[in-house]
Amino acid sequence: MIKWVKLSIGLSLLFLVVACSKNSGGVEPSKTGDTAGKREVVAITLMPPSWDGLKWRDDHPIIEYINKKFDVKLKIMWTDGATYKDKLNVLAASGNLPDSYRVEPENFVAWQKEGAFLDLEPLLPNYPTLSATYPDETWDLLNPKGNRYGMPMGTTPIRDSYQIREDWLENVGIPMPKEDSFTVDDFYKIIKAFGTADPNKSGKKDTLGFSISNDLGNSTQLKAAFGLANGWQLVDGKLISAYEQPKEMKDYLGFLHKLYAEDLLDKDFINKVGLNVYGDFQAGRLGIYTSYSAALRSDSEKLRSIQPSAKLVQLPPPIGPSGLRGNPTKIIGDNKIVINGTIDKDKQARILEIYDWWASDEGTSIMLNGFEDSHYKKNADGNYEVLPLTETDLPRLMTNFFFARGGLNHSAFIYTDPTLIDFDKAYLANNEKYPYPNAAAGIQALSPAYQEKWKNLDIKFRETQLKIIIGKEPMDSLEAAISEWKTTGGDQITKEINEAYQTYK
Amino acid sequence: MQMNVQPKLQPVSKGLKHIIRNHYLRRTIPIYCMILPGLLYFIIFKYIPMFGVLISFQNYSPFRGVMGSDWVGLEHFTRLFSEQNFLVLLKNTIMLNLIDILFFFPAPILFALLLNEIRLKWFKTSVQTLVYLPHFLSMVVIVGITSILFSTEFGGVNALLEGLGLSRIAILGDPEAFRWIWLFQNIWKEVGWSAIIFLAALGSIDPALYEAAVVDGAKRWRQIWHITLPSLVQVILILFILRLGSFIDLGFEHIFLLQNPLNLSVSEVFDTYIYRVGILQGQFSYTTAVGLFKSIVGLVLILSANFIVKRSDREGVF
Repeated sequence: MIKWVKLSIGLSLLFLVVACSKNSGGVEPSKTGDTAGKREVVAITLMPPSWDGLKWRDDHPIIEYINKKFDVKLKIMWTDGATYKDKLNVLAASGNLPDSYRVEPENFVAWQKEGAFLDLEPLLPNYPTLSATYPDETWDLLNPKGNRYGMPMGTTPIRDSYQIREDWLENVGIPMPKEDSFTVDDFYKIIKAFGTADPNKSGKKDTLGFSISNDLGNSTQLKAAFGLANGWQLVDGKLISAYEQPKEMKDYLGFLHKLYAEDLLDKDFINKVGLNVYGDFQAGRLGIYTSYSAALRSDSEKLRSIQPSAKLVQLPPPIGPSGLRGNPTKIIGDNKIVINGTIDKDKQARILEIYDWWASDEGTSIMLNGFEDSHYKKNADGNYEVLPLTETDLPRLMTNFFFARGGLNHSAFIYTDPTLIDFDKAYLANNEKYPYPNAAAGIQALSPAYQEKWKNLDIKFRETQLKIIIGKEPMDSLEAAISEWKTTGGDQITKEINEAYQTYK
Repeated sequence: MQMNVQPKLQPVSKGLKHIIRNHYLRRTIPIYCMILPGLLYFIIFKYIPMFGVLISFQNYSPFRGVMGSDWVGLEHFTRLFSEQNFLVLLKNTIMLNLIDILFFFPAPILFALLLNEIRLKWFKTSVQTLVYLPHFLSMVVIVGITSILFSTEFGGVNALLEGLGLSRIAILGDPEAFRWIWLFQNIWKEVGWSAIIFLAALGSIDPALYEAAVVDGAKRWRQIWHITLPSLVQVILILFILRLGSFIDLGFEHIFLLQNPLNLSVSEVFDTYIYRVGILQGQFSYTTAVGLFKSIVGLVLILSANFIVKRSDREGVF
């Protein structure tokens, strides 16, 4: 009943338990005996983030294949993606990190000084396939000169764009917007019609005009349109935060406030995270959502089961008053896959061997498609066909969640219809026309003040933003929030990030 | 003194044998063994980990360990007390606790008294069962049910209100409503369960007292005031002291589930702050310092409450 030192106990308990136990994943002798050329079997743990609870069974054919090929005993710790960072921090506090895992920029910068990661720089020449799969600047990102503490984790930089219900547009009598002239005003008209003109023809008011999550997700395109920086922007060689753009911020918040006041924005958005908004979209309550091309296909299917006429199409980002527009943009390589620096050399080498193979054509194919004749087969006409085992085995998981070679299309399976691959390519090409990069992407983590204060500052500022959107505070309260942001740490972060930027570029 | 000690040392081995041979003790050894698991539990999981508070005086780095990390003295405590958030955290923690003690603590007592007055046996037991059932639901489920019912756009309650010609209410996103939602969910979930102990105490009151009171012409109210409540005072006091012991400890899960970026100014308490800064941002030493501070406040509260109760000639917890 009386919980004394709750957290400190939890953390230190983990520490103690682990400090007492020896590193259990050591080298164990091969069971096949002393056959020449056979190496000792090494136990290796990988920790990928896992989404939607998906994972492989323990005797998955790919695990068994890797075990045999590299004389390892692979253990995969599937960890819920949303709480991956929590778990990783707790494991770090307990000194029990897996052999290879994913880190975000903040932890990557903080931990590399502590010797947590293996420096790959001197070893990479031995693994040519792996080292060639990403360009040098991607490898070097967030690393001190002369060291490479992790492998870049592959992402598609401009993967997402708005998707819109074309059938809803037809129902409300608005033509599909033209890419060259699609303005924020047109966007507003669509939202208004979606919220009020019964776009799903149900006869009831059961649709939302527009929705955002409580961290302002699903509205990046609007930030871009109103000229707000995607985090940081470069003005006269100096990095400036989006929080110091009062005019643009007011335009952006003003647009959302107008939607809220006119009952066009989900009234419950304060309690919704990104997944909840996606849920509304998938349930046919929301007609505009930011997503990627393979999801357009799967969500269309889902929506058709609710409303047979449902049709999703890609929507270009709206053009703002000063002609700006952009799609959510990330950089490649700020998230890293690292190899634990405290495990023995033989183990580290074995892990690198696996990644080197994984980056090869053969490895990539197996990690994406699985094995021929069990996950797919070649038909007489030379085309490939997917087999039912793929449904349950999901050979693509580790590629999707963990490591992939650079530039890989994660939905281009060997058996995928070429027209779909072309569709994905076209979708990406459309996205890439409107980049919206963060000028400080990757280097903000180099600022100690950013590491310590950003989250709190962000939350404080968000509170004001949300209050303005729902009309609880007037637009003018933004000025006070900005000056508070600056004095309680924002200025210091700006200074440090600019210093990092000068040495980094 | 030494002269006295010397001769007493002599019969020690003899004494030990004597103790083992002692019939009474031999009989009780199995009973002492039964305590052992509990004792070990407290030593291993409660006492040994207390050494972990060392890291609140260090700049703890997981990769260098407790031995290798730098000592920084009271730096983390200084940071906590000078933190802008500190007063907000303290205020929210105290406010929620006061609400809890003022409204939640008496609720099961009231419920038990009401239940005690019901004379229909089947009605009494079925009400009791129904009311303590929510105790077995997870907080996640309860918060989920609330947010489905009270959703502004598609919630049942709001549809009903609109059907009755009233306007919709948006309590889920309203920072001012946060504390009351928290309180009512707590009461709904726990009132039946917490009432069990009071019902047991009520059952042990000598019926002769009531009979005598009836003979003296006392009505229901008089009986409750002069017999039922005085019989409950000891139980109430002990539970109250125990409740004070967890004064600053609100339980993380429930508040965390109800949090959103808008109500943080009223909903952020020490536990959620520790989670956000310690686990999400990996500042282990700082949050251990926060946890230690929290524990010390809890300790002071329970000791003083116990002291006050003992001074008033009643039995305390220890």
